[in-house]
Amino acid sequence: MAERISRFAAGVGTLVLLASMAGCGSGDDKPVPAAERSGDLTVWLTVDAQESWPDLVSEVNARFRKAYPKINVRVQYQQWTSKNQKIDAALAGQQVPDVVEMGNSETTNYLVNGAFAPVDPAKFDHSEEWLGALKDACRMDGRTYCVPYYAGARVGIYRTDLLKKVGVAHAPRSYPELLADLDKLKRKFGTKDKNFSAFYMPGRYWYAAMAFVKDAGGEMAVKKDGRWHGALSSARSVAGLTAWKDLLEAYYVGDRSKDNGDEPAVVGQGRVGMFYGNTWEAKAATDSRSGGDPALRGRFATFAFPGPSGELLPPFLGGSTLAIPAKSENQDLAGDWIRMFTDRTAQRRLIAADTLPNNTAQLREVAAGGVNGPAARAAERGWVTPLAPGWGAVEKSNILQEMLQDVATGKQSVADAAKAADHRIDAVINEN
Amino acid sequence: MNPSSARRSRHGRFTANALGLLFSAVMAFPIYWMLLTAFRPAEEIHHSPPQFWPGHLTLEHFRRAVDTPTFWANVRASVLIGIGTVVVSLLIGTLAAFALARFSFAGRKAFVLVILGVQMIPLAGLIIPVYLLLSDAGLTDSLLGVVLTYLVFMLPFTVWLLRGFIVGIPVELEEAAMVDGCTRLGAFRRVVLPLLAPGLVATSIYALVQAWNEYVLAYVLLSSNDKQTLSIWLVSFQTSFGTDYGGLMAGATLTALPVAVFFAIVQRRVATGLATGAVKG
Amino acid sequence: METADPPRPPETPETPETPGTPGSPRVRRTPGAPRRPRTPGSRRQGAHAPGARRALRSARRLALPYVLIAPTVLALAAVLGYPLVDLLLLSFQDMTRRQLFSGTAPPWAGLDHYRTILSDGFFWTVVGRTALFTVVCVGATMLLAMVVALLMRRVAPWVRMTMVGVLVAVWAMPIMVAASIFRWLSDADYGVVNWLLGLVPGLDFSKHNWFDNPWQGFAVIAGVVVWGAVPFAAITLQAALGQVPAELEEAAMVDGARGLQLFRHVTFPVIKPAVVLVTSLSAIWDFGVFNQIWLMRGGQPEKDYYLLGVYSFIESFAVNRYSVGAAIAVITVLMLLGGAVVYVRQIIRLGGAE
Repeated sequence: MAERISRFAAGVGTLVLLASMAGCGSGDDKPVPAAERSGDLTVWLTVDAQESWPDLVSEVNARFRKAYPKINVRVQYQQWTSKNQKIDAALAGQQVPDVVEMGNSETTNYLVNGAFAPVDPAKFDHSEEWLGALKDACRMDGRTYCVPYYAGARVGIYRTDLLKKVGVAHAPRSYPELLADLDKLKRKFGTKDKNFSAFYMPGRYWYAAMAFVKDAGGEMAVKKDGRWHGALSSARSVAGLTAWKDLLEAYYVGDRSKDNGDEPAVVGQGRVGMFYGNTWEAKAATDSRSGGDPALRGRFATFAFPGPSGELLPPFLGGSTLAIPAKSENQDLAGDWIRMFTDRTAQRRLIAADTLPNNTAQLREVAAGGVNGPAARAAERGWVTPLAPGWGAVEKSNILQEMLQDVATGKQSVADAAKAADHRIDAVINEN
Repeated sequence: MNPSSARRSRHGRFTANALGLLFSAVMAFPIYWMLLTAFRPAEEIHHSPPQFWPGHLTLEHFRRAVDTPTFWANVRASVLIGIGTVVVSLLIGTLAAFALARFSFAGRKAFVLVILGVQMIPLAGLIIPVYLLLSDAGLTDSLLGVVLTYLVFMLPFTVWLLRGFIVGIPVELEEAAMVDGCTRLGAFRRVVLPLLAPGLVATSIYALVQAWNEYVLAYVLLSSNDKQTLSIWLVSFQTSFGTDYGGLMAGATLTALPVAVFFAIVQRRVATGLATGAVKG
Repeated sequence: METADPPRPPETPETPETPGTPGSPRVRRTPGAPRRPRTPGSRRQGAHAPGARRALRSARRLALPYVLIAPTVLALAAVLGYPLVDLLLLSFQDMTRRQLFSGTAPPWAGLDHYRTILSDGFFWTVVGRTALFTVVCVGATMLLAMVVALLMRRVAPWVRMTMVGVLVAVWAMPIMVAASIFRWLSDADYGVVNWLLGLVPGLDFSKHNWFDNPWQGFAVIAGVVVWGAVPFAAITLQAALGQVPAELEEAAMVDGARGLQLFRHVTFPVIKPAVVLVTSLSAIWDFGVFNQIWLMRGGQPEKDYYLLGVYSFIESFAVNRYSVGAAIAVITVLMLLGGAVVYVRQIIRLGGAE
């Protein structure tokens, strides 16, 4: 046994040695032709690519191999929830990945702290028309540090069959119409089944609540004299939060301290008339692997969600970007891989996978009648989280979620909860 | 024994059995639920109200779990890390345990304190420092790096447990062997080690369970998907689309199975070792 | 002094652990008395027989223990020593991501972080909460494990096998899976627990959220923790109970000892080392509990659910105050060390052969 272990150790030791020697080999400054370049290119993508467009990844890798036959691309998939502590550790060490995927609300802090190498936007397709929400997240002091990858915007999703049963043939087009439809759903199904929610709105669903804040003209945080301050307790923000709370109060009967993490599973149980979510959630609610019910297939449709202001409810424009760590030794290769992975052909594939493209030009290619059409429409009014260095900390320390939970459960009034949240935001938002 | 006390003891035995079974049932319920979910069709999983018996059984979730591209690579990583950690920590842990049990030496107290103190260090605080150290040594994304890290967290516990076992082996036996011409280490090898077998086995269980189920360090230290352990693989059933409970529970069953089997085999050995009383006369 | 002695009077239950004073003559075991190997918990000091003592005179013998502990010491020093120093250093600095990524030295902060933390009311709330959580979990674990271990000696063999089987299966369960099962069972929308409670007439638990109220939430979390900790404790205690000589208990029963009395004065002193071991280990583990809370709250624990482990992690990785996180970790270790003084003293006494 002991012998086997030492052999194992020796084997691993040799491998390590070989790897480190390979790392030292490319010290020359002489340019090497692409076909002659060798080594590894490590790409960290989040699991979405693995789940929703794995073919695109392998196609791009194949194209890349044609240009650089001796480069071995290693794609490693990461979970959203635990990705950052891993990236932090990796960026602090010596062996950094060459490409990392970052959520657009996470980038600012990394930019401020010099984690990423600058990129030249001109090298990338449609970089003139990149979505503002993604582009702004990648820019600092006039330079660009990451490349927009894809975006998503939330929409309204409703059960067509249930709405038909209360005599409504089409999706609501205004806020009063929405409320009227919900009233009908509530009357028809809610009286019989006390677990039926005409509208599903879990209490910690901050992307939804902040959309109401934005709709009312409020802000999460504002920059004044070079410093960021929480702005949730401003009159407009409070008005937005109150509208959100009223909607929840009237039509939602479920758990108020939940977030939207298992939305498809809950909706899949069939006791929800409408909800606010990503377009793919309509599909997930009918997929038994995410807890949905396949019997509901074909009974969901999406609509552009009207806001109380009379315009479309401005959705959070969530999205991903791709960045090259400043410590990467293969920055040019990484840039080239990203170029291929985000070019117009690739974006078309993403559109086909029910995702929004990274630029406004191709936003028009999203079929208006398709499931993602309403999202493309809403995206024009999309917003992003404040581009403050400490915003990531605000999100990760659950300040918004806890405020909303207190509001939803009635633990605190809207004004008090917002004031407390502002206080907590102020404490971390300016920190690097 | 008079009749009344015999009746009382029969009554007591019955109560004890009933209590034991009740306890087993309560403890086993979450496991039963895991198995039930793993073997029932997806439509039944989220059925409301919940059903406590499976409608029909299916292997669909197991098939999906085993078919994940990295499954066998993850099994391999878990096995290598598990065996590596257990063997190395037993190997060097036994030596230290022997020293603690049989010798008094200057610095013994300090050593005991270190062994004890190490177990109090919260792992979360050490993630980045440990990563940086292994990064300098070129041991990130390497199974050896994980084994080394686990080793230091398992060692104190291993040493402490083994020490207890060694103390229980009469020193006279060693002395007898030494009178017969063995060296101290020879006596250890021929006399103590065989008697220590149940102890080694018991200790290996503790170490294996820890190494097999650890998640945070393995996640940060191993970035290649095919080098990750089964406990990280399990997390992939929680996607942004929701949790695939069927797949997760099937995966969990597969993950827990080897440890449980090892346990079952080994448990008997520990028990026999204890029951026969390894030392006669 | 040895196990074959008649039961001791209650005033001196400590005798088994009393270490020999250096050089004091040891009572040799009666030759021929069968000795079973000790269980993990049993930590009676092995007698340093005169033969071994004599052997110590040789220089090689003197070096032997150091050679034996060398691999362990080296491994600890190499893999843990540097990170520990790093952690300690970090808590006196002001590390941000910029220094982390670039590798430049962070500015010195001295005791600032400690001062801020220790004067923060919230920190002390978390400390109190952690202590309470630990006491409750350890108490429940030990009580349950002890009852189960005693029970296992009284039940029929097939029941014992069942119990051992269940304990083993629970032990083999990854925390991550255990937490997701418990989270699911206690879910507000489709949890089995609510449904079961709803069957009780007069109770309406549909859509009841267990995590709304932190007391209830912690009850569920404590449930997972205790559920996961009982197997180790029960199996270890059961093995320790196997070491209690039957003659000892019988003799005590002849003397009229019964039930609790018998347990307190005869059984407990023998298994006390095992109890101390399991209790302290459980306390250490529960005090630093992290995974269960993290997973049960879906990776986003509310402030009401912060215990020291979670707090330190959030400060480090969510708020990126690595130094504050490090300082909290250091304080946690110090508190554990302080709380473990009793245990440490016991161990020093065990190691008291010097």
